[in-house]
Amino acid sequence: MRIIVRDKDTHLNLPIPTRLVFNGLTAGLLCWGLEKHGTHVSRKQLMVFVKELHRFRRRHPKWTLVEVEGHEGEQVKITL
Amino acid sequence: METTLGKRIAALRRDKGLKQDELAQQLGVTPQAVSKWENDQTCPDITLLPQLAQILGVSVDELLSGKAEPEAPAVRVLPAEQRKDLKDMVLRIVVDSAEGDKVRVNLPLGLVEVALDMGMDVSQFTGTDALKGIDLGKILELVRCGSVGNLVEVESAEGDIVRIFVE
Repeated sequence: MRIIVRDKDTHLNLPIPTRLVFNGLTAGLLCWGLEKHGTHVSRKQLMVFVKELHRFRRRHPKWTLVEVEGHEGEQVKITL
Repeated sequence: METTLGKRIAALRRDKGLKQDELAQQLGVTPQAVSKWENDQTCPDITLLPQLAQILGVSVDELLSGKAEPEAPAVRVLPAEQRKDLKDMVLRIVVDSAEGDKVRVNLPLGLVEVALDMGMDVSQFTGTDALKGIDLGKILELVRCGSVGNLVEVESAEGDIVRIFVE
């Protein structure tokens, strides 16, 4: 996963290892954190999401998930 | 869209789930030729362009210029045999604000389906209240029934345009 932020002065490129962020351990931690805030999502549901994300990423590497362009030329892009 | 013809061919080929040798076989050329096109060392023969564009699912104009067709695809209902697996489809949310801000969200439908099962709604996907009233569950139902194309188009009084289409 890659997060790119561009504006007039800055150009930030953040490569994030997808497997490090979305895995069974982080799914469990997120599930525990959400539970504390009163939102119930089971770890099993989160793991389905994680598996689907990895499956799609394998089929479509570098897929652009979100692209935002401000009227002054700022740009934010998140790719898988 | 990618900047060079080679990069566009590579990206479109990957989107279609084709390998270089599969594309080469369909076009009757060698895999090395496809590799050279994708690395911008050579260009495909002009007589191959219509067939290449057809295989990649774009128009020749779009393949060469890199500019997507300006019109969003019209709504179509596909017969059961032409329908793709929901997991291979994409939900595109396009927001053009009156101030000139542009938001493009390309969500794999498989992920949307899972997220909806977890109780998320569309405003959480996009971070905008403009889509609060839109029921993604109903859109998924439409897609399951074979509807694709420009499913939602909203233009607010302030001039903001929101479009949701499925490909």
